[in-house]
Amino acid sequence: MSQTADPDATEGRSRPSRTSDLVAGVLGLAAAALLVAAPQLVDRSGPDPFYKGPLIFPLIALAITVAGALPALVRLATAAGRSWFIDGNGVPLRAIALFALACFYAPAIAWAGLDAATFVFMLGGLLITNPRRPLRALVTAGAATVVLHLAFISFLDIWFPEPTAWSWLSGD
Amino acid sequence: MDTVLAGFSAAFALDNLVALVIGSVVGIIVGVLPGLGPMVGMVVLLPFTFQLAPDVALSLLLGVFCGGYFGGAVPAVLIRVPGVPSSIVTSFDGFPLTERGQAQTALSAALVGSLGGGLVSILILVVLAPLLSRVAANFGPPEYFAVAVFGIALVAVSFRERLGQAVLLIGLGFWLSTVGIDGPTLSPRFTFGSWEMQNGLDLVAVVLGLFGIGQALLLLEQGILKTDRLSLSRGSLDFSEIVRVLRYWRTLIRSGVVGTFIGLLPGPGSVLASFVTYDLAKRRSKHPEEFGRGTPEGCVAAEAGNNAVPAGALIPLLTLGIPGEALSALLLGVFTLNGIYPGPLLLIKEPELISTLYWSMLLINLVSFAVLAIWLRPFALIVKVPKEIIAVGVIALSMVGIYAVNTRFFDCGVALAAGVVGYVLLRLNWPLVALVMGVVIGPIIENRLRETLSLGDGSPMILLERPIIVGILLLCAVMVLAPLRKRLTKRAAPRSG
Repeated sequence: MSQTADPDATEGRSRPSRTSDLVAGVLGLAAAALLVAAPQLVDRSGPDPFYKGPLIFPLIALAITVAGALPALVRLATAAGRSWFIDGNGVPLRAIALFALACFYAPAIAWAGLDAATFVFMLGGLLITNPRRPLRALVTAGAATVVLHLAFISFLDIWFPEPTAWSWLSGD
Repeated sequence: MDTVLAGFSAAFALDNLVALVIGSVVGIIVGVLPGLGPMVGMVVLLPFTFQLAPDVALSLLLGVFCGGYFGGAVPAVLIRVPGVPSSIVTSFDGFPLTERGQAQTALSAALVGSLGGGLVSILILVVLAPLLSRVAANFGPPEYFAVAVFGIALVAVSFRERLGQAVLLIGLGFWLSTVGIDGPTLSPRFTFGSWEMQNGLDLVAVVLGLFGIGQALLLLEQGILKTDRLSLSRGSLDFSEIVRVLRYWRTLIRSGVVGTFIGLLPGPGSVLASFVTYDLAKRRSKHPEEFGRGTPEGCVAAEAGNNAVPAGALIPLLTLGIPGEALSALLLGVFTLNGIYPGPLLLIKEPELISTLYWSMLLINLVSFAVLAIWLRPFALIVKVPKEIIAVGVIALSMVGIYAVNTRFFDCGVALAAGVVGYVLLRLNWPLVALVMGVVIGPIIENRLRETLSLGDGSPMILLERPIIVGILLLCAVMVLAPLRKRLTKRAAPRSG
């Protein structure tokens, strides 16, 4: 998926790309579904009348969301052939890989503790984003681990759960 | 007088001084680094503020807010890459000066402009806030509701090129603010049976995800900066150049005043302020032909304009409790988390806090200027830090910071989900600020709407009984409909022609 130029832009137009409209459309349709389902998703068993109740504002919010998505939905339906161009940067493989790693960071803190999880996340993240500098990655990961430990454990005294791995190793 | 002195001594207390210096330095760093900006700095520091006194926490975040604008000018002048969006205007004249070997002149102009704009805006804040507060003291729930709607309409209109997206994001932000147990009725809303969702979506997690994680992921894809051209004749600012730049004092004061009043308006204030003050300076100049080719006056005007915005944005926040833009929306979050509710009574109830805030703002501007002037080269070299280290580091700091707020891993999941949304929307160039404004202003509007409807026994007609509200709502309607009408007329013109 290598894109180099936006056909719409070269023709002097500055309309949002179809990708942008698609995102707006998906959000709009999701909001519409929530709008329909809202009475079931909000507990209305209290004694308050509708205007004081918990449902009125979510309905307004979702209606605004749907209204905002309407122009994009109309464009999606009527302007076939327009470009799906975003910015020419292609598929963000490194960002996806880093995000996937970040998804394991919080569970890793619970499993192995802040220090070990931070070191592994930083090292892994730096190697994913720039595999040519392993030594720099190692040093930076170590430094970041020390900084986060000092900031959150020594300075802020934040409570972190006892690592599950320690319990396993100690046989508790 | 006692309040002024109490504020003075609180501002000069060691913990406050340390906070504002750290905030300013962090602000300069994230300002210098293209692709980050003060928003990322503020959200990353947010978890650290919960253990601080409110005035100290605000000094820390305001330091980042103002320091970011100071720092943003450095890469704009040296490598034509704006550290913050509004610094693009500074590069119009700053970079040509650097190319002519006058980087010191350009940086002196930019930093003096920032300092001057900041000081002028603080003066206006001190004078204007009590006046506006006195007017707002007569407001009831319907007036507040109308003003909040007006604020959100201004945000939508300020993105008129992307009005549909802005409206969608405001609505989405409103809805996100409703997830969890509803305070007044204790009814669960959109919790989908999840116990953890009952606490709602934590504001810090949402904002850190959108701007911290989202921006960090986007940073990985941005082109490598051409930092090989980074050239400074000396390590600190040349003070003889500062004296030379002070010739443009009229431009400086005018830009500061204009920037403050633009900061009052919700929306992308700093960018607009820079463009407007630059254009104004050009039109007023005896040598307008020099603008764009490298005149220090252009740098002074642009920087004075954008650095006047933070104090300007504080005026509606302190007096009405309505944030002007995303950065002050974050400050509102800090206020409310500390049990302080900005509004017309704040200036009466918490005069010492407000006085401390004014003094701290003054100190932040002086500290940011001094720090950059003395350590100019080290800060300029920050642009050479590899973006991978910044991106991975920001994500790690954001994740641990989010956990630290409530010691809940669930919030990390919320932040990651918000990070994906933030990344996609930032890449598509959507006005993400509108989403944050929706999340923050949503509860204000909801509460005021309920109170207003209760006053009218459920009838919205109560809004039409008060002339000031009718005026505000009409203004909202005109603001939103005028661009639509313009667009429709434009479309119809070629057909008829």
